[in-house]
Amino acid sequence: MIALAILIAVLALIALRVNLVWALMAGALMVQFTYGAGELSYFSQDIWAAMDRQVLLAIPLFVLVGQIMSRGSIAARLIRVIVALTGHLPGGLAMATILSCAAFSAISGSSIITMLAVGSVLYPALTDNGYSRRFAIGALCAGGTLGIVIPPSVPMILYGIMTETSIVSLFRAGIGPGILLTVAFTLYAVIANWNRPRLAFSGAELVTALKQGALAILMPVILLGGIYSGHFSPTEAAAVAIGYALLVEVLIYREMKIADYIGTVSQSGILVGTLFPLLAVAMSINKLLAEKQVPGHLVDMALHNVESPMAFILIVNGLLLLVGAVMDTGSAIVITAPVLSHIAEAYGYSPIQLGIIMILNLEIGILTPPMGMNLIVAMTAFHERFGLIVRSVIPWIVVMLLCLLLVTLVPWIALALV
Amino acid sequence: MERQINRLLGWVTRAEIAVIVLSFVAMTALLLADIVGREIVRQGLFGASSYALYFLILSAMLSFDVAVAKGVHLRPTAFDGLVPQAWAPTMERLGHVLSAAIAVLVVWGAWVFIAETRFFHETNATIRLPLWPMQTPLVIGFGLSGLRHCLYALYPGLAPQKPAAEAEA
Repeated sequence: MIALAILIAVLALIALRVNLVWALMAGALMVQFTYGAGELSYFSQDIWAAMDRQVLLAIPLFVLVGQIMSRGSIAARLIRVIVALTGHLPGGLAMATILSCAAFSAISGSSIITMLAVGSVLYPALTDNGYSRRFAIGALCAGGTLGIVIPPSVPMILYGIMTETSIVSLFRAGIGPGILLTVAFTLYAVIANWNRPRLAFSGAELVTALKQGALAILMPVILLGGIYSGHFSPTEAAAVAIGYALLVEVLIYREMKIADYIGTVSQSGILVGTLFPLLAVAMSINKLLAEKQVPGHLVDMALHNVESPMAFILIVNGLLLLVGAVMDTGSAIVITAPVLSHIAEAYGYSPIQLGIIMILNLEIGILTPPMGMNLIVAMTAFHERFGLIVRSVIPWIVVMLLCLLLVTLVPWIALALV
Repeated sequence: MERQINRLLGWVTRAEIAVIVLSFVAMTALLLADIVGREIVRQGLFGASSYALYFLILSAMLSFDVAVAKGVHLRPTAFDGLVPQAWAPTMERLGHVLSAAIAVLVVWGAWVFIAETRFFHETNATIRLPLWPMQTPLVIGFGLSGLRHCLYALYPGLAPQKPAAEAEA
């Protein structure tokens, strides 16, 4: 009864136009007063305990890596290589768009950065070469979501922190679904554009692109190679990637200015400022819920009402699709992951498998209104009407739902490399 | 008066961004120095990741206030339609008052927590530095944000406007 009253109070604060993070803080304070010792300082103690964790360093660093590469010329050079390789094939530029997003996702951990980095180069190229604006935007919005599925992925790091799951294992589990989605997107892109005019193949252009893009191609190799070989932790790999990107951009490509560097860091900083307090508040509430054995009660309740593991995971998928539509990926993970992972384990789903299923659901959420972040950003970046953007992603969402179903029904896709 | 406060808030934001940028530089430099030292001379930089983490916490708390200044904290709008559109300015003002009130409670709790840490001479287990100076960004970040909400409630014209994209979505 008291818990319901607190929930209603939090919703009332949101209705009274208080930001989510303050409303959750108020909720956490009420929870501390009611179930804890009634000390305000205990809440701060929990916030400190949540933030005083070195694994958190990976999040801003991966965001910064993506920002540096999208503002500099590493992204453009990677894309040039892919266009030179695929432009002459049927639906070549469409294929290049998806493959560029996939390649950039292997460096960046964020969907918006991936979409903007690839979109800034390929959106004009697609529309100039006869592809419809609707298709171009849909491909970029959907391709951008690969940023959170293909490792490194900021949401995977967040999930790992919230559920105390190995981040490297989550990264490995993301490879299979990432490849599946890339193949499915590419097939759709090629079939939908089979009759579009193709670019002429140029061996000279390919050689030039490879020469100029060699250092850019090395980037994902260093980053992911370092993590999977066990040479670096994800945090260290992100720091090395930043060092490498800066070295290449400052000393070799020389296309970024000081103002660009400041802009990229402050953008990454703002993301940290919106995410970290939310993460800390969610961890504080979850800690108290765990102390009061709430997850255990929820597991009992779920097992009592839903017997089949398959029915459970389908319900979870439905719930997460809904959550993803109304909440951003980071908030959705910090709020739902700890409780859902407890319940899922009782049904035989490992936290890693649930993590991948959760990320895939929230990936679809990035493309569904009202909180579809890629849609909102695409509207500003590509100067298009919101209605057109929403319609443009519908076929891609269908493809993603099919892939989600496959990953849910065939755990091997995610767990084979773990 | 409103213009002067606006200018003051602008200075605060710029100062915060400068500290955030420097913190990020320090954080990355520390981690890189540790890795390079470990790989090349077989000697990492002692406590590098602990120091880097404290720079991260400082930048995160200042960024929290910068996010308030830029109006980028998530605010679900699902219930906005429950009241007539004409009430929107009053509701926004009320939202800022409530946010400031919550900030007062949070800052008070953080203040007490830090005072306790200082009283008990708590230190970081690795680098042996006292913890309370590392915790002060909690008070600074939440305090500045609360103050900002307070000023936005008094002078609604100072509050960041919602980005056009978000408004239309």
